[in-house]
Amino acid sequence: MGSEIVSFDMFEHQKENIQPLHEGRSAAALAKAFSVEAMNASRDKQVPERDDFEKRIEMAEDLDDPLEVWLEYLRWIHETYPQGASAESGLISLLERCATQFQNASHYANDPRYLRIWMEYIRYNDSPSEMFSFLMQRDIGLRLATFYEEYAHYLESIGRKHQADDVFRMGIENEARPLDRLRRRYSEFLQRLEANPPDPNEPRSPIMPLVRPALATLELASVERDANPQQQQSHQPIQPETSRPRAKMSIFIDPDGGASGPADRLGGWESIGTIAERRKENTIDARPWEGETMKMSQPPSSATRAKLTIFRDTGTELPSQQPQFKIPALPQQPLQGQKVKREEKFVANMNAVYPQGEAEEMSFEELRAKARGLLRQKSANKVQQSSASVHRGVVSLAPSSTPGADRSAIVERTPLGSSRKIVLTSAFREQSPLQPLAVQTQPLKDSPTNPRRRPASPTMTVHTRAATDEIYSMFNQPLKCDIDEVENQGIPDSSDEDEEEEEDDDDDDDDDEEDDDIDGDGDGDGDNDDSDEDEHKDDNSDDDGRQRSQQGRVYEEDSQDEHDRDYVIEQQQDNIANNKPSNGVYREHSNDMDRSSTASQNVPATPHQDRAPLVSIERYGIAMMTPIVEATESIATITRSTKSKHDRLLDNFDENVESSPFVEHPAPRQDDNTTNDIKQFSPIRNDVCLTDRTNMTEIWTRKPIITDLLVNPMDEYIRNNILENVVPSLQSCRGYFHNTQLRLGRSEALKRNVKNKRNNTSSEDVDIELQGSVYRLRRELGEGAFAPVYLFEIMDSDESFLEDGKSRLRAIKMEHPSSAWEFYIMQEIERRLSADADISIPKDLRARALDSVIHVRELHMFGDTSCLILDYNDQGTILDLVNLVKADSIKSSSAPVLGLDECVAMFFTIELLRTIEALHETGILHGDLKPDNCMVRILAGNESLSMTRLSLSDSASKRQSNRTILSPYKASGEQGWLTKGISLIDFGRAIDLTVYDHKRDVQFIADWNTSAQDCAEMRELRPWTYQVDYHGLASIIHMMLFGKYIEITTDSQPGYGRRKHYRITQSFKRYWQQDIWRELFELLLNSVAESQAGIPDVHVESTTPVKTFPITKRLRNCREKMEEFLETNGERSGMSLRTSLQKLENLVSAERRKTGI
Amino acid sequence: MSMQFQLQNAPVDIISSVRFNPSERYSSFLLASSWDTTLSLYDTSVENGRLLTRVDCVAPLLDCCWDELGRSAFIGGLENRVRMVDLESGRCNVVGDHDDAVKSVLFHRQSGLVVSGSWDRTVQLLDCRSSSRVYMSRQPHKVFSMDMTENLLVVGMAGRAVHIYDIRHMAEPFQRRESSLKHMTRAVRCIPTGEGYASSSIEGRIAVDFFDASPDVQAKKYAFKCHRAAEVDMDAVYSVNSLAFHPLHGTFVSGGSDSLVCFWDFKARKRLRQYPRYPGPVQALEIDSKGSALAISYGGDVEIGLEGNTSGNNGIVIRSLGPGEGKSKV
Repeated sequence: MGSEIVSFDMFEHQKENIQPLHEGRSAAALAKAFSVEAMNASRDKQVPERDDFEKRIEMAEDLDDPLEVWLEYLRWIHETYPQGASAESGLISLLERCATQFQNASHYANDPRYLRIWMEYIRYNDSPSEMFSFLMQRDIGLRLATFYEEYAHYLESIGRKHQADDVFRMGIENEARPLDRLRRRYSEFLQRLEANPPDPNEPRSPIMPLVRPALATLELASVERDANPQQQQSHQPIQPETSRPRAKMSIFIDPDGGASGPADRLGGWESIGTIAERRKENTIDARPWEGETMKMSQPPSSATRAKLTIFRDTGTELPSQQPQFKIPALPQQPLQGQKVKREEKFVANMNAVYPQGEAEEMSFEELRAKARGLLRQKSANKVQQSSASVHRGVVSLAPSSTPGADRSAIVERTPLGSSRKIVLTSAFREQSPLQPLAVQTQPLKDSPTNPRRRPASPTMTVHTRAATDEIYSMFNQPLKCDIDEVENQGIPDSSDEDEEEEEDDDDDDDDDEEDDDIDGDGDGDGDNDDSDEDEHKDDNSDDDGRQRSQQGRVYEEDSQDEHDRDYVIEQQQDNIANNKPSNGVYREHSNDMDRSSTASQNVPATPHQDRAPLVSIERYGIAMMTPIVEATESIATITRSTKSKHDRLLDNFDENVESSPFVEHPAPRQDDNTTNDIKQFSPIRNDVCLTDRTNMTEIWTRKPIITDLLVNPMDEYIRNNILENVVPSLQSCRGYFHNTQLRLGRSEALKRNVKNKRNNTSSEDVDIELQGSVYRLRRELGEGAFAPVYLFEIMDSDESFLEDGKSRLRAIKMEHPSSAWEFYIMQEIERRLSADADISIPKDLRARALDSVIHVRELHMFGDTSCLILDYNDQGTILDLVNLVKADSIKSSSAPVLGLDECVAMFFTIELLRTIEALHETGILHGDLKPDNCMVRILAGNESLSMTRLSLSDSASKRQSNRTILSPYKASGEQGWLTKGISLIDFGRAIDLTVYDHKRDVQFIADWNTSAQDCAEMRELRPWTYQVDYHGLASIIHMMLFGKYIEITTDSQPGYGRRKHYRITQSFKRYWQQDIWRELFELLLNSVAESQAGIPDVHVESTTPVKTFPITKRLRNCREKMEEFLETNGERSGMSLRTSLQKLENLVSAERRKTGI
Repeated sequence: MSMQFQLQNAPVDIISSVRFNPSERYSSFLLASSWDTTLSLYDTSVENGRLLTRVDCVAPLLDCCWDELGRSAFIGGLENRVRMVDLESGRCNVVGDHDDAVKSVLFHRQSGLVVSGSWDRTVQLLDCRSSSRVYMSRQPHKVFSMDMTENLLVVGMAGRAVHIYDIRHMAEPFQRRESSLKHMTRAVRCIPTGEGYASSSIEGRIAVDFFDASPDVQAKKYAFKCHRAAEVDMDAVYSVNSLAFHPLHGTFVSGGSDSLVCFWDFKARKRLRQYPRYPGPVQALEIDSKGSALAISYGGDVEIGLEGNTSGNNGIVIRSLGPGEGKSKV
């Protein structure tokens, strides 16, 4: 090639692409490489050449100088690829291969050719310092000046002049060849160093030990160091003085001798790896896929969860020093746990399945059996259970084949389906085991109401068609009242006041239409009685709270149906207000009833399952088997009160449970039991029982205690019977003190003392002590042979008795022989009118009614006397008031004024009517209304009344804030009008209607000698109920208006079939509101007739008030008319209610002052 | 014939058990015991089924089974007795007497004995020919469910106890186990091959256990969740009321209170099928001996809460199974 001169032009256009070489390049080679042919066809040519070199390299092992081949290969690449390293040339990989090939060959270690390959390789490397360190470690080129020159040059170029200095020194020390050149280079370096002194901040770390091989483990180094403390020590003093040449490479020269092998000496520098390796240190080697598991990418949800769990303080939080990469790993644990334990909700009733206190769980089947009453209840019920195996409605193969002793139930069914009913009395189990059972080979027509389909019930009654019919016949009697009337009411509004006018109209309509069914009553009654009674016993004893109240309503309605329609309507309205659904049921049934009364033998086919239709079951006996059974069973839950006594009662009831109401009548027996039980078990309680009865709310729903239909309410036996059986018992009342084994015996002393006082003869004070409180006699308030009333003053200073502040005075009624009746009635009134009682009277009305009844505090029962402690009202009675007015008028003028001002009379009348209305609605008859049993409360500031006994919040606060009248009359009681009114006393003759059988109309007869003050029925020896109070009202009103006792007359001669018509003999004054008064008296005196007005008089003297009785609602109309009148005209046209009342107040307070206390 | 049909004249109360006749000829005859106290026999080979006979018993029935020939049936229930009902004549004899309701009756083919399990905590072996008790085995708990393979009797009881008896040696349990499930056992059924049994509980789980007590076989036992409905943040867990094995394929079906029936391959641990929802909670299941029909009784109280008396909407569905249906797919 030598002779030819290569023109530079040939490759000038490529000169930027020529990689400069240390030793220079051959122009010819360059020209060749860049010749056009070569550029075009190089690929094809070069491949065989390259292959040729590869082959030679493979063979090179056998050569003396294998490096030579490599060098030739390199040279060829340099010539062929002047551009230098590229993917095409494969220069780097070749350098790499060559360098690593001979890195362990000691004979090449200081071969300048080999070192030159390294140096070229380092040039392409991205971490030269590491490479130099590697070479140093591996003893490659350490005797060649080139190494030090290159290394120092590199260090100098990256600004580590101190280290470069070290490297030069090390080279000179090692006597690297050519040493002179090295020295020369070093001196040049020092000159540069002087000219350009090193940055004082530049790192001065020693070259060797701190350069750690890439990816070599730290631990290894530290272990080595620990194992070789000498080394460590030798290092430490050296480190600060880096600028000076150190004791040469303590690592290499082991002072202890060559104990550590070459591997140790190498210290992880066995291999530097390829560039590719180093560059791709994070990639995975390509391996065959076989046997590999693909890592699934984590679902995103888990990532978010992991975050969440960090926030969740699981308590196993990582120490903060922990390396961060571990954090995602840990939360995995709870995460997975969570996933497994997803919250579970058992659809099954786990409480039932795992009953508390039971060792074993209950399977669904057991629960089902239990729910159906079929589950055994241990041994005792085995008999019952097996008796449940009465076979119903199945053809028996051999009904007569069983011996007579075997009284198991075999029911014979004729094809017609009539069968007889057999009562089981023996245990089924006792009989022979081979009891044939019947088979029907025909598919049955299953109807859902087929009673046969019901599982065997625990009662011993066989339910048969005949029985069914019988029962139906009981229940399907024509009903007594015509509920159509109710229907005609339209939908009554819940607020009575608003609908007043409409209701009035309705009433009239009703009167016209209601007659249809009256005739039908007679026949039905007789048959009904028994069944009704049973049913009601049962029903009553049913004691689910809601059910009770609902039934109670029905009850009410039932009874009222027969009594009077007015009442029904009222009740119903209240029902609507309180309980719409129940009303709806009621209406439906009214329809049903009509139908059933026309076709009385039709069995209603609809099964009633839910709660509401229970009502209908009662009424009609539809599907009566079940309800009745249930009812009998649930007698067990009759407990209404908190008394333990009832628990004992229950035991007795339970005994009755098994018996069927159809077979015998458990009801009377229950009554007996009840009585006996109470007698037997209730201990005489001398201590105070603080059980408050106010939460007992049912009124009409109680089981009748007295089932007679014609009663003398004063009869001692009746009363005792009631008192003994009333639930909750009297003895559980607050304020009841039972000391019948003691005798008070003070009546004589009291009488004497009173007499002395009257005669102004001084005598010692008479004190009586009742339950720790000392009462001192003040005077006699009311005389009476059997029940004088005395005024006492509480002498002890116990503040608790003075809770209402002022009054230390008490009226004590000393009744002998002792009687708890009045106390009972008054307790009942308070209970029923209390705020939380379940009664359909508006709260406000209740509160005012309660205010209008004297407050009873305690009853002390002694053997001889009973002391009824009442609040003392010092304002006198209506009678007193009339007398005061009369006396006052006599004083001031000649003509005595009889009666009160009309407006005042009207005011009190309103109060009276409202109170009586409430009492009647709660089932209490006062029984002895008269002017001297009605006290007035008109004085402001007398707060001894009900303030403390009511928690009827709103009205109470109203009351308290306004004690003086500020405005014209307000019917609502606002502006202080609440404080004025009346206060009824003397409930000794009162009657609690709820203890009677209110299903049917109880009536009363009086055995006492009647006077003109008594009502017409009493005087004519006819039975009565509400009439007694109506008459009493009339007498009080009469007294107020006319200042005279009432006198009643009848119209001359009633024609045949005409009711007597009563009226007062007095005539109203011309300027009075005659319409109002006349209507009122008409109503009160002829209540029965009025209630039946418009009915064709079939039973003229019928003593049975029907349907529209009592006339509470019509009285309410009357009252509201009066209220309206007073509100509009109270302060007008020559009369002023306020002035009149003020006048009376003055009179009363003057009188009070006179009496001294 | 359609895929499935309702049996006409189904009992009107909850159907406690359905059993196909074991004989080949009458394999389509289905016995159904019900809480309405009846035992009904249906021919399910005709469309909508045909009520062949109905025996009215004295108390709700909890279980029924066939004798070996498929001529008479045994019933047990709240009457506390086991009765044998001759379905041809309608005769009904008492063969056994318990102190409490009889929850489960089985017929042991090899010995001709009736096995009855009761809430009175006994299992009795009864000889129906002499109506005499052969053996009475006291159990620690109320018996809730039983099943039998060749000679092994699995008794699932309250308290999560499971006793396995060799029926020839009733004196001692062959194995005493605790249920693999956490809650009350509802049903146990033996794997037809006799290698183990499956049990279900009220908490939506089924366990598969194996008789062989060796550790490697026991390692195979497992339980899995089923009959659950995912709600917002929790699973509604239904009771698995009934299990029935496919006589040929060895797979089994489960019926839950969620009104669903699922086919399971217990070997592959896979669900094969789930059938559309039935009108009420599934109470009992049975596959006939040919593996061609599945009887499903549904109805009754949803998980027997407090209102245990709601007994409307009861019925039996016969679902015909195709030849491959319920076959393991592995």
